[in-house]
Amino acid sequence: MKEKIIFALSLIVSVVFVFAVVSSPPGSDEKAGGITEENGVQVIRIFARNGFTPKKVTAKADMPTRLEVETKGTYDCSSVLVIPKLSYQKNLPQTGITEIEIPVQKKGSEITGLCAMGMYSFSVEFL
Amino acid sequence: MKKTFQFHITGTHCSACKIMIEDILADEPGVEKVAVNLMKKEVTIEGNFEEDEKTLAEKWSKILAKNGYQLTVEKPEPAQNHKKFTYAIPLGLLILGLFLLLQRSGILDINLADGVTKWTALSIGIIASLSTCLAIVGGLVLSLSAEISKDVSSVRPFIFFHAGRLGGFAVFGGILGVAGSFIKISTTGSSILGIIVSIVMVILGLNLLDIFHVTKRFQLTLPRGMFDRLTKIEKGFFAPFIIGVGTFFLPCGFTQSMQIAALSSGSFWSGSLIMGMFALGTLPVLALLSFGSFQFAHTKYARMFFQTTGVVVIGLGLFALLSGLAGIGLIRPIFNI
Repeated sequence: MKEKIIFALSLIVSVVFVFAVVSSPPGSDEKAGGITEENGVQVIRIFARNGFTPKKVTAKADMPTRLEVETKGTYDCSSVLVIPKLSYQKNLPQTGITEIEIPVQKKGSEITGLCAMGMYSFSVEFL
Repeated sequence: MKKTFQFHITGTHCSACKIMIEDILADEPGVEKVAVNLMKKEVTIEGNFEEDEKTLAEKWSKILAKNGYQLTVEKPEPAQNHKKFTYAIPLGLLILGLFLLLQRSGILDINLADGVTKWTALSIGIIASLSTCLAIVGGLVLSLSAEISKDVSSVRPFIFFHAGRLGGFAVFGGILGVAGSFIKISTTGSSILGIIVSIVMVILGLNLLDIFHVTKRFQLTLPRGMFDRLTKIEKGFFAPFIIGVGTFFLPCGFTQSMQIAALSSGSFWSGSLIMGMFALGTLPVLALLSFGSFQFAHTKYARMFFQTTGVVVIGLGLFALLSGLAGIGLIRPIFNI
């Protein structure tokens, strides 16, 4: 009986702990990224190191779009970028900006970029 | 007067246990012959004894206790199932949680200088061995080590594994350095290898949990034959060495960055140095996992260790599997740490 109680309690603690870890917001701050417009082209900037920032971007549909992936001393998985929808796969330079042209997207379309191992990802939603 | 006694034994978890128990008891006064039957969990002992069965069982249990075995005259009550997992499941989940916490903490988010030297390669290796790469490379090392530790009585296979890893990285790094841009490393290829390895990890994890002893008869234990072969050549070196070399091709972002650095390094020695130093950087953590498994497997905490490892390995395996499938575009990403 005592064993059962210990088991139940520690199971609850562990599950709560794992949940807290998984759901807590990531502590990224100084990594710049976001969306800007230049001469009728919307530019989405993603910072890649130890994951991608920002992880979710909302962009305008039916508009020429360029994705800029910035790396800075990036050696981890985020330097091996794949975008399945665009059949894009590239080893990014350790430091630099990689420009990727995204064809005009319809409303509701979503483009996901991942590191090759699939553990980090970001998504762009077109509205 | 010559007597033959039969005892029940608990705590046997490996085929090496037979040899260990027989060796220990054979050295006891009066004992002439010891035979351990692992299937029936029985020990038959022949010899000249003054004491009665019960006293002998207690006396020898004390000696065997430090290795986690116990001799009894009566057949011991089988432990109840919930009891077995009292600590393993929460402990395993806790370890998985700590692993995720480490990934999210930003501790590993280091802005490293450009241009890979042997020293940056070494420090990248150390970071890699704690990063998400640990899920696949570390998970594989942990599951194989725990599985093998059940059967082997020396650390030789582990030494050969690490030698294979270091040697393989150095040699392949050198080849990349010479070949330069003639070679293109296939990201998809290593992703597929990673998916296969994560499935193997989940199977090994289920084996370690040992909840499916019933299904074992139905050959759920697919890799069993593989491991029999692996452990048979305990005194050889081929299988662990080859697996060590093979880790060169496992998916890990850091490894790929180093492979690219080796590709552009221009000579055999510089490529070899970069990859070799990188592998050396990953050695402390991986060595801890493999030798630690071996240590734990031969204590009285072995059962708990195997089960906890089982939970951890299944968790890491599923994490790597789902991530890997997302990586090749088959499913939507589920994890995003």
